[in-house]
Amino acid sequence: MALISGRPTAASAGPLPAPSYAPSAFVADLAGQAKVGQLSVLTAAGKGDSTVAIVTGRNASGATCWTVTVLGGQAGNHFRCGKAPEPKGEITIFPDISGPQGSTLATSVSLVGLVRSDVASVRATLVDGSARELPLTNDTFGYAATERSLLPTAVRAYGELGEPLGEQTLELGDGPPSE
Amino acid sequence: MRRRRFSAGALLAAIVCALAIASSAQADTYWNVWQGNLPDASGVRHKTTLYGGPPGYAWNIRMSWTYGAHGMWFLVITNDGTWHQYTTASFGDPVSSNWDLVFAYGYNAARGGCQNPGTLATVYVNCRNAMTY
Repeated sequence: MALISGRPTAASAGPLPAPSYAPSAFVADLAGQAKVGQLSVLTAAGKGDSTVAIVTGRNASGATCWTVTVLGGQAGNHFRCGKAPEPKGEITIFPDISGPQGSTLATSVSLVGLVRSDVASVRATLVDGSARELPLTNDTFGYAATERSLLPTAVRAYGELGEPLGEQTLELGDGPPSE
Repeated sequence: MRRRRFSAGALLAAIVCALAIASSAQADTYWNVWQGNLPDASGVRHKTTLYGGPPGYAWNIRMSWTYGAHGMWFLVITNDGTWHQYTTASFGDPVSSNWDLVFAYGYNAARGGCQNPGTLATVYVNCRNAMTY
């Protein structure tokens, strides 16, 4: 059941451009409960159940509202209104970390993120040790990978002079082994 | 007349009693994932419950934990066994309480629950589900 339409069709890993997906029916329902309209997907990454997105809208007072949706738009949090999406500190990531039954190791990561306006660039450090630049679009970014070596272990924000401003790390080996 | 009043009073009492029982039953089903420390005494960091919701209802996982300790993860296991983890930071606040992960109507997740990630400190967790949509 595809509830975020127009999903990314990029290769198995890579930064994703700001998409123009329609919010899912479920997200529209959540928005309806909160009397939020004018929905749009700020950014999204991943495929199928691994799709994660930031969805924004406005309530009757004109205030900006937003939420993060996961599971391909089939789950999420309630809309919060009054502030535009913004990072806590320099950078905040919203990841979906997933793996197969019986393994504690993640095999897929999709993430979207927000950065403070003074952040000039964002780089992900991958399992294989390499770094990947994640293009910024209106202080948002996205990345998705389904190959173990290309999963991100950390995402770092840098300033204009290349100085490190902040970092978010990901735990990739802590899944539920016995479920 | 007096007898009728008594009947009305008894009826009211019965309604109040029924509501109390219903409320208690709902509370019992609400707190059915995990209340206690994570990791637990065995070092297990995650607790899940089977999805048992009827079609037409949404499923909520609600989690609160020791305020100010650290962020937590929602844990979802779909019918094919694939697990998904979502940081509570993804839903707006890394160290807070009463965060909901709301599922779409009849979404075919097999289990949902809560997890203390990585090597972070033990926290007291209330993790429960509800059909509240």
